[in-house]
Amino acid sequence: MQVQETIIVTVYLAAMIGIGIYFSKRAQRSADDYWTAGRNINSFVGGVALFAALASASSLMGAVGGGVSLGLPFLMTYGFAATAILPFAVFLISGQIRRTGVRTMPEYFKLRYSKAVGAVAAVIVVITMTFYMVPQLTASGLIGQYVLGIDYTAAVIILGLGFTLYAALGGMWAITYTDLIQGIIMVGGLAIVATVIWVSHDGPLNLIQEALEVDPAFGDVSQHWMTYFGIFLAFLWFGVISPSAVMRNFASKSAKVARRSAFVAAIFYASVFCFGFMMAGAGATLGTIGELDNNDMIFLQVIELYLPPIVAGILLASLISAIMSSADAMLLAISAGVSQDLFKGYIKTDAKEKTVVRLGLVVMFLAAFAGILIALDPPGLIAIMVGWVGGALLSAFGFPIVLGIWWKRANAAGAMAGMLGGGITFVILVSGDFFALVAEPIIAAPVSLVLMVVVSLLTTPPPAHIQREVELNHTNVRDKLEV
Amino acid sequence: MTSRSEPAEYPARHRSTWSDPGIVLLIVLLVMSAIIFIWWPREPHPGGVALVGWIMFATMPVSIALTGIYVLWMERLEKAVGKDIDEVESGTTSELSGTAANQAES
Repeated sequence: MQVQETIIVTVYLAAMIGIGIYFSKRAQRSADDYWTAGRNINSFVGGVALFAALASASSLMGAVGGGVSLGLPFLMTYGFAATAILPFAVFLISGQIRRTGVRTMPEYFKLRYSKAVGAVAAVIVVITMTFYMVPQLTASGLIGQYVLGIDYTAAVIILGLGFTLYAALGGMWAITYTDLIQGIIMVGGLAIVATVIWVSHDGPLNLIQEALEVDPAFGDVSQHWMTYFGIFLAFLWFGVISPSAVMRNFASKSAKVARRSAFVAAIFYASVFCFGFMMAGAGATLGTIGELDNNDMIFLQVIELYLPPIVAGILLASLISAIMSSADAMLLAISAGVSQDLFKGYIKTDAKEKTVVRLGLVVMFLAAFAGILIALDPPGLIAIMVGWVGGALLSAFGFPIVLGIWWKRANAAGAMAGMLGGGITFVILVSGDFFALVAEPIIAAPVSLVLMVVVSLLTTPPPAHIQREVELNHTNVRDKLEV
Repeated sequence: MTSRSEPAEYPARHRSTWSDPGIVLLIVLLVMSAIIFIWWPREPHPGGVALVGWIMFATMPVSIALTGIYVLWMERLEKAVGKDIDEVESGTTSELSGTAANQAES
């Protein structure tokens, strides 16, 4: 075990759990406090927390590992797609969905379409978010094993339980404020390593030349274009279709604050890929690709090589930050999906708020347990796993959520057809291995769109009051009334 | 759709969907992305990296700028609409109209 790094990580974990305990009383006051932090988060805090939720292990380890092993354009595609998440989400849903006054995505589907659509959405949220935790936990295991010198299984369990504890205790309050700290540590830590690399190699252009001497294919487009396009599509939509990101809008003070938060998040997210660019260049100069069991590990090698142990420990904390800040939001989405959407929405509609919140807390631990079990034998490269989950969510939720906001005529039958049709098509394509890596949504999402439009047009329009609500959510009438 | 009070006395949206700032800027974002994927310039390799990579990297500040433009545009529009809502509430006009609608349409 490496003592210095272990102490830093232990102190960091304890601080995060302390924040969870600090917010536990406030969070458990009401369901609104637990799931949406009382709808009281401001632009800067919300923006950094949104960035931290989006910037997962995939953004850091996955993008750098992919950039070194599959060529720098792979990382650049990540940067292109990930930064576009924010404008795409803010143009299409952020302000409008905040005005609906819901707490979760399935609740939105239930109110906009029908109880059945809401129930199917809740099940999809629970399944996909559980799987999305796997790459986060895998990354935590790899870090623990490589840097702390502990067993992979032990690292997955310790770090997994760490974020579960503070998320379960403090709900969205703890998650938002730990994400704020984690986001700042993440960007600060990456800025340090990127600066050291810049100075060591006399700037980025020299760095690329050195990397090309070691790996002449480093600057090439190594995969079929559909792979890059599939990544772009899955990432682009992530702020629209991922419950862990969309729930941040519900926690904002208003639609205006939700939009401003997206702007703050876009700046933070773009900076991560600028720093990642430097790390990928440095990683390629090492020439260790092919020797590693997992190419995502190149990220850790770079940190170890360029930074003294104490700073490397802080960087390690930043990587753990990225994992925790994404995984905690996923846990909250799973927990809300089971306790708020399924239990309170369908099984026991008269359940007290405190019961629902307590159930949510228990569900978080169960979901974390399931994620840890799967992560003990991870099914693939981190970036690819993330691509699959993004693709599944896009295929099922993309058009039902966007058309629900923008098209008054969209109805429950259409949404159900789009959600199931897109989701099932995605599963068939993944199982059959017909396409280039993570390119399935290119087919599955249009299938969802066509089904949703055709079925909506062939069936009865939604009631007039629903159509009027759709219109009102595009105005600030509600904001004025809330003041 | 929600359980909150329905402000039935207010007319809803006065601008067409296609002139909504979100849709206008979304089209800009999608056109930019479409050009990149249709063109897909694997060659040349300025600085040793495929041109398409550099272009994708250069879109990051563009995305930030588009988000900022949207935030400011919407706040300007809503400020104008807000004045009209106040007028509706004080009874000086019968519906959302005038400045807000004109700005939104333009």
